[in-house]
Amino acid sequence: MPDIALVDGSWLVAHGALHAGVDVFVGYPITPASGIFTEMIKAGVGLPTTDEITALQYLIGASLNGHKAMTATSGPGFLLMAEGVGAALAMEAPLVVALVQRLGPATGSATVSAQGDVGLVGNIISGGFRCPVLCPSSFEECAELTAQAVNVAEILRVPVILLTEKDMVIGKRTVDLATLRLPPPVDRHTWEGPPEEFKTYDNWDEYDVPPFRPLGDPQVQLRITASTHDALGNISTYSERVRASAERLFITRRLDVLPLPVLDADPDADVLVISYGFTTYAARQAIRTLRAQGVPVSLLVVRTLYPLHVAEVRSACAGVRKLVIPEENATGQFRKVLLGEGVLRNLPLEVLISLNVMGRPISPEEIVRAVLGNEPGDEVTDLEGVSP
Amino acid sequence: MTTTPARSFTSSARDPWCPGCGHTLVIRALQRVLSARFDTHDVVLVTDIGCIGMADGLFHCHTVHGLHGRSPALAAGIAMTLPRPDMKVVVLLGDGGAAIGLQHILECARLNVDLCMVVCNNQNYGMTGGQQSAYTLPGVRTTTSPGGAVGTAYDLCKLLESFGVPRARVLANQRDSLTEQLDAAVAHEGFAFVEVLEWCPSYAGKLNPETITPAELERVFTAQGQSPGVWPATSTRPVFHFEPKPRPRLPQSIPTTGAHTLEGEVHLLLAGSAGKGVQSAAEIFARAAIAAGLHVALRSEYPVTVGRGFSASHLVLADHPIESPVSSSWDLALVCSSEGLAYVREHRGDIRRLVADRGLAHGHSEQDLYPVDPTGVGALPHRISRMWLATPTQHGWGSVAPGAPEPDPPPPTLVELADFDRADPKGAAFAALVWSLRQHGWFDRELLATEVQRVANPKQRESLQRALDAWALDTETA
Repeated sequence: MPDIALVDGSWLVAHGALHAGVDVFVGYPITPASGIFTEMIKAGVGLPTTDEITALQYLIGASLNGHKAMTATSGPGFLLMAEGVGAALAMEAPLVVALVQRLGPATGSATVSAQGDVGLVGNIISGGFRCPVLCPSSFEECAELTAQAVNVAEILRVPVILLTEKDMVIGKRTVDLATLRLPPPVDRHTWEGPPEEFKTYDNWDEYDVPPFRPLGDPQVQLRITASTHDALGNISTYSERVRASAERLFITRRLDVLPLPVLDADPDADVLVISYGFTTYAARQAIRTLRAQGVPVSLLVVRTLYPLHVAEVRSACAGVRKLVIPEENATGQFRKVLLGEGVLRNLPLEVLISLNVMGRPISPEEIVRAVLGNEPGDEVTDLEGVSP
Repeated sequence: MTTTPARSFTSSARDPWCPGCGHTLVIRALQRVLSARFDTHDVVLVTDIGCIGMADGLFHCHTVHGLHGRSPALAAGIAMTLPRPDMKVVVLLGDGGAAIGLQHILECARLNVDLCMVVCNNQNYGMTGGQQSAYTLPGVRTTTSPGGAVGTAYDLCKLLESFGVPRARVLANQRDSLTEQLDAAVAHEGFAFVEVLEWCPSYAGKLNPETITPAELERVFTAQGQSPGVWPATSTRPVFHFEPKPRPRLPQSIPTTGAHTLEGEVHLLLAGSAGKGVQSAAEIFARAAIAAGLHVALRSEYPVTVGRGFSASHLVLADHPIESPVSSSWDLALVCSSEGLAYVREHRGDIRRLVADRGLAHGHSEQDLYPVDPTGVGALPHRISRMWLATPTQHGWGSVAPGAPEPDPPPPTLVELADFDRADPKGAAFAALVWSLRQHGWFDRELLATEVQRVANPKQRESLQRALDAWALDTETA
C-alpha cells in the first residue's frame, strides 16, 4: 500500500535519525542545514545552543551518558565542530554530524548546493585518523543512511559524518514512505560482565570496540579522555603500552557495517559512471537516456566515501575503458580519493573524465555528453597516478 | 545525594604538580568535601587542559578529560543529560581555559546548569611555559609579558554577577575558606562558581619575586579590585536539565484522488521575489499534482536574504518516478517579478516558453524585453501579447570539461505576457501556476482548490483563492 508524501531531505534525515533512536540533537542554525534542526526541535529531541563548538561538547556529554546524539551543520559550522569530532573519536563517544554542503570557500554562497567538502571530511581529524563518512544518493537514502549512520556510530563508538548537499536537504519530492527500508535500530554494545573486570577502554568486542557503560553507572568507574590513554583510560604518553588502543581508532578495516556501493551494470558496457550524493540523480537520468539510445553504460553509486570499499569499487572498474566521475566541485575531490586509494591501479583504463562543475548542479545532459564524448574538447585524459 | 561519607575520592596516583603548587591544596580540599557528601559513583569530574587538567588521575570517581577551554561546555552537556538527579558534576579548569572557554562559562550560568565550576587562577599558562593569560593581573610579569601584563584582567566573579549565581573567590593557601566555599559549591543545586587564587611557583612566582608570600598574594589581587569574597545566589531560577521527549512527526499522506493527462515529464521554472510565496505556491501546486497521481520534484534557488531578492522553484512533473530535477532546458518558465526576470536572464539553460507578468513590460528597456511581434496575439488569450527576451546569459564557473567550449547559446526565448498579479500581487506566483494549469490541463483544477482549502493561514488561503478565482473568471470570458 503506497504512502505518498511530498517531503524534503531535512524531514527524511530527521525521520531516519529518530527511527534509529537519536534522542539528543544539539543544534545551531546554519543555511542549508537548519531544516534538520527545526525538524528535530519539533520532534522533541532538539536542544538549541550558542555555537557549533558548544554543540559538539554537549553532544559528547550526552553520548557519554548513553544518549544517541546528533547535529547538523554546513561548511563554516563544520569547521568549528572539527575539534569536537576529533575529541569524540578519541574518547569513543558515538555521535552523528550531518554536513549539508554549500558552496565554499569560507561563508561562500549559503544557498548554493555543492560537493566541495569531500576532501575536507576525510582529513578533519589530526593525526591522520578518519571517521566514517556516509553519503545519501537519494531522498530515500537521506532517511535510510541517516539511520545507518547512527547505527554505525553506535556499533563502532565513533563519530560518523553524514555528507549531503543543499539540493538534497532543501529540495522536495514525492516519496513513497512505504518503500523506505530503514535498518532496525542498533544499540551500542554494553558491558554486562562483572563490574570489577570493567575497564573503560578494554575488553574489545568483535569490532575492536570497548563495551560501553554510561557516566553515572553506579557499579563501574569511567575514565574518559581525549588524550592517548591506557586500557583503564589513564592518560599516557604514546608508547607501546597505549599503541594498540590508538591504532584501534583507525577504522579502515571495519567495512562490513558500512553501506556498500551499488552497481547498476550493463554487461556490454565499457563505460562506467561513478557518482555519489545528489549528482547521482543526474547520473541515473543520464544512464536511462543513454540506454534508451542503445548506448551500453554502467553506473556505480558510492555511499560510503570513507573508508572506501576499495575492492568493490575496483571490481566495478574492471574491464572499463572510460570512466566518468561527475562532481559538484572544481577539483574532482572524489576522483582524487579514488586515485589515492589505488582503485584504478593496473586497470586498462584509457580515458578518465572528471566532470567538475561548481556553483550549479550537474545536469543529466552533461553526463550524457561526457559518456558519449562526441563534443570536441569534453574529454579529459587525466591518468596521472593511475598507471603503476 | 547522600550525606554519609562513602569511599574516598583520592586515588593512588601521585601529584603531578611542581612543589609549592596551589593545585594540590585545591584538589585535597575538593576530595574532602566530595567524600563528605557523595558516593564516588555519583560524581563526574570534568577536567580541562593545562596543569589543573591533570587532576583527573588523582580522583577516584567518574572522570572526563576534554579539550582546552571546552570543559565547561562538556561538563554542561554531561550535567544536563545525566540520568540521575542525585549526581554531581564538577569541572576544573585554569585561567587559560577560562579565557578560551569564557562563553561556555557564561552559558552554564545563563542556563543554570547543575554544575560546580572551579577555576584555578594561577596567573599564567603553567604547562606551556608561563605565558600571560586574560586573567593575568596588570603589571604581572610572564614569559610573554616580560615588562608586565597590559590590559585589565578578566574578573569572572563580576562577569557572572548578572546571572545571580553563587560565586566565591578564595585563596588556595587559606585552607578553611577554601574548604568552606568548595563545600558550599558542591552542595548547591544549580550552577556554583569558585575562583581559587594561586601563584604558579615555577613561572609567576619566579618572575615576580615580590609576590611569593600568602599575604602578598592577597594584597596584589586586592589592589586590582579582585579581593577574596563570597557572593551568594541572588536568583532562584530552576536548574536546566534537558529531557528529550521523542515524538516523530509523519508528513501528510497525499492519496491519489484525481487523474492527470500528462505523458512524460514537464520541467517548469517559477521565478519571482523572495517573500512573495514562490516556494509555497510551488509546494501547493505540487501537492495537487501528486493527488492527481503525478510524481513531483522541487528544487529551490534563492539568496540568503529572507524577504528580499529572487526566489525560484524548479518543478518537475512526471507520469513516472523522476530521476533528476536538474535540467538544462525548461518547457515553461513563469516569471512573476523583475527579480524573477533577472534570475531567469542569468540562468544557464534553454527555456522553451517564457511567460512573464505583464507588469514587467513597463519600466524595462528594450535590452530587457523588446517586442518583435506586437500583433501576434491571434491564438492566445486577449491579455497576452508576444515579446522576445534577450538571450539568457551563460553563467556558472564550471564547464563540461576544462578547455571545452561552451555549448551553443540557446535560441532567443519567446516571451508572452499575462496578468499574474491581477487579483493580488502576493498571489502572483500561485496565479502563474494556475495559469499554466489552465493552459495545459495536466490535472483537474479542483485538486488545486482542495489544496488551497488545506492552507492553515487564513490570509494566505484567501490570497491563493483570489488567484484561483481570477483565472477561473478568465477561463469563462476567454
